[in-house]
Amino acid sequence: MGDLATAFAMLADPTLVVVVLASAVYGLFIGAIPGLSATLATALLVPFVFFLDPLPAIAAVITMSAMAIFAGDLPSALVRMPGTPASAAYTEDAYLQTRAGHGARALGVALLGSVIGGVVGAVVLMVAAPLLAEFALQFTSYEYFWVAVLGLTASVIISAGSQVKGAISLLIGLLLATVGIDIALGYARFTFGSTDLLQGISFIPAMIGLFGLSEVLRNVMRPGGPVRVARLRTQGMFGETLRTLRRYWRRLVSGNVIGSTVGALPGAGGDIAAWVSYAATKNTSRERHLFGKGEGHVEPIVSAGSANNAALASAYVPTLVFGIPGDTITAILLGVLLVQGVQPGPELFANDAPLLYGVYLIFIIANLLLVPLGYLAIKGSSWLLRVPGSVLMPVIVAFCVVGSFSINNGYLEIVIMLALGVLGYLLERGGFPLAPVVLGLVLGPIVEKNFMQSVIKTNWDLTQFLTRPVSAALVLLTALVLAYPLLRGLVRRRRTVDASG
Amino acid sequence: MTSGPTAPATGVPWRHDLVGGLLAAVLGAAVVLHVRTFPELPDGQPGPALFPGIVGSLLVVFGLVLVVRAVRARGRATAEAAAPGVTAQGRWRALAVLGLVVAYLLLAEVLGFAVTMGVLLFLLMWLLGARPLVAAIATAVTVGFIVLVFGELLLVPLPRGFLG
Repeated sequence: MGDLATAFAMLADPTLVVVVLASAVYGLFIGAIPGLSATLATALLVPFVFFLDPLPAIAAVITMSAMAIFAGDLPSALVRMPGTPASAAYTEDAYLQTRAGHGARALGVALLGSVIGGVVGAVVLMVAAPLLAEFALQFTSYEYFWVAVLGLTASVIISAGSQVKGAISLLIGLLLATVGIDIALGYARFTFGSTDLLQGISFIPAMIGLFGLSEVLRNVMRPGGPVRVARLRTQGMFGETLRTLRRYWRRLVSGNVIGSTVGALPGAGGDIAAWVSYAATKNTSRERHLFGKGEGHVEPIVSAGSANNAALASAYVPTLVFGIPGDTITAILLGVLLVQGVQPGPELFANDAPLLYGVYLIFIIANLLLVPLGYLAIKGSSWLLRVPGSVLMPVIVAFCVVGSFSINNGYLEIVIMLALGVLGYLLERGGFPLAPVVLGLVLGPIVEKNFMQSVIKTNWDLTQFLTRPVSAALVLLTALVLAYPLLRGLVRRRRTVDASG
Repeated sequence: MTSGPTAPATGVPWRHDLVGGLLAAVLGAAVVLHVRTFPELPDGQPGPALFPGIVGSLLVVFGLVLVVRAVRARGRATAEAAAPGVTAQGRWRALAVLGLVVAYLLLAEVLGFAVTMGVLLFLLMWLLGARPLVAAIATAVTVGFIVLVFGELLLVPLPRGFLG
C-alpha cells in the first residue's frame, strides 16, 4: 500500500498534471486530422517527453494515444475518412449513421465504448502483467532470445497484407539495427567510416522519419479536396448512447475481449484489433445485412470502437513484462525508456512498484478524462476538421526536423529522419507494413545480444536453446505461430471443398 | 500467403512487388558479401558477421519469393486499375517537402534556426496552396513556439547562425 501512496504522490506533481492535459489536447487534435495516425503523434511527442522523467513521459504517451484513437472516430463519422487507421474498420458505418441523422449516437457510442475499452484494457494489464512478470523472473538469456524471436515472428504473421512483405519489412528493421558497434567484438558494422554512426541508428529520429515525415509525404502527394463536414445534433446524446450500449452489451464484451487479446500480441495494435472485432461482429450478428450500407449500423461501432482502445492498453502487457512492444506506439515508448535507462522487464515489477502503480493509475485517469474532453471534441469537431493541410503539413515537417535535432543536437539525426522518412513512404506505397520495421529495430539488438551471450557462455553449445524447459515451451509457441497461416489455409481449403461437394 | 482474415486489400500493382522483391534480394546479397570482410571471434566462430549474415540471406530468400509471386500474378493485373496513381503535381509537392529538410540542413548553421525555418516554412506553405497571410501567421506562431519551448524551456541549442 505504501507503493500506491507513493504513486499517488508522484501523480500530484504539477508538471505531470500539465503534461497530461497538454498531451490530451494534442492527442485529440492529431487523432481528428484524417491521415495523421496516433503513431505519428507519438513520434512527434517523443522529443518533448524525452526531457521528462519516466512516469510523466509514459503518462503523456498513454493519455495522448487514448485521446487520439477516440478522436479518429470524429472524421469517420463526419467526413467519411478515418482519423487514424484504428477507426478505418467502421468508418463506413459511422458516416452512414451520421448521414441518417444518428451521428451523435454513433459518436457517443464511440466515446463511451473507447472509455470502457481503455479501462478494461488497463484492468487486463494490471492483472496479467504481474502474473506474467512472476513467470518471466526465471528467464535467462536463452529465454529472452526466444521471447524476442517469438515477438518478431508474431509481428510478421499478423501483419496486414502479405506476410512475405511483412518478413521483408522485419528484415529491413533488423538490418538497420545492426548498424554500429557490434556486441561481440566491438567491430564497427555498416558505418561507412562515419564516427557518428558507431552508436547505431538513433532510434527516435528513425521513428520520426518512419511515421512523421513519411505520413506528410503521403498526405501532400494526394491532397483531398475541400472537406465537407456532415451536420451533427448532440441533444440527448448520452441518453441514447447508454440505451444503445445496454442493448448491445454483448458486443461491448466481445469487442473488449478481442481488443485486449489482439493488443497483447506483439506488433498488432488498435487497427488490427478493430478489423478483427468488426469481422467477428459481422460474422455473428443477426443484423449483419445492415452493416456498411444504407443507414449503416451502430453494432460494429460498439464492438470495434471499444476494441481499439482496449488493444491500446493491453499492448503494455508484453511491453512492460518482456520489453517486447505490443504495437508501434509502445515500440516508440520502449525506445524512449531504454534511452532513459529504464529497462522494462520482470525486474521492473520487483523493484519499481511505484512506477507501475503510477502507470496503472494514469490509464484510469486518462480514460476518465476522455469523457469530458471527448465530449468537447465532438462539439467542436467541425472546427477541428477545417484546419487546412497546406498549413498543417509544413508545421509537422518543422517539428520533425527540430524534434530529431533535439535528441542529440546533431545534424546526422536530421539526415536519419530524412532517409527513413523516404524509406517509410516507399515501403508503405509498395504495400510493406511499417510495424515489423520498428519491431526489428527495437528487438534486433535484444535477439543478437542474448544469442551471443548464450553461445559465448556455453562455448557454442546450441542444444541449450532447445532443452531448457521454458525455452522449449517458447520454441513450441514460435513453431505454432509459424504454422498458423498454413493451418488456416488447410482449414479454409477443406471448407471450400465441403461447400462445393 | 493470403492477406490477413480481416485486413483491407492493399491493391499494389505487381510491378511494385517485382521491383520491391528485386531490391530486397540485391540488398540482402550485398550485405552477405560485405559481412565476409568482418572479423571472426578468437575461437574461429562467426561473431559480428553472424547476425547480419542471417538477415541478409533471409532478405535474398524473401525477396526472390516476392519476385516469383509478382511474375506469377502478372496475368491477373486487375488490381492495377484500383491503385490510385500519383499525379505529377503530387510528386512536386513531396519533393518540396524533402527540399525543406535538405535546405534546412544546408542553411541552418549559416542563417540560424529562426531565419532558415521561417523562410522555408513560409515558402512550403505557400507552395502547398496556403494564402500568404495565413502562411505568414502560421509560420510566425510555429517558429515562435519552437524557439520558446525547445530553445528556452528544453534548452536545445538551436543553431544561431550569423545572429549569434
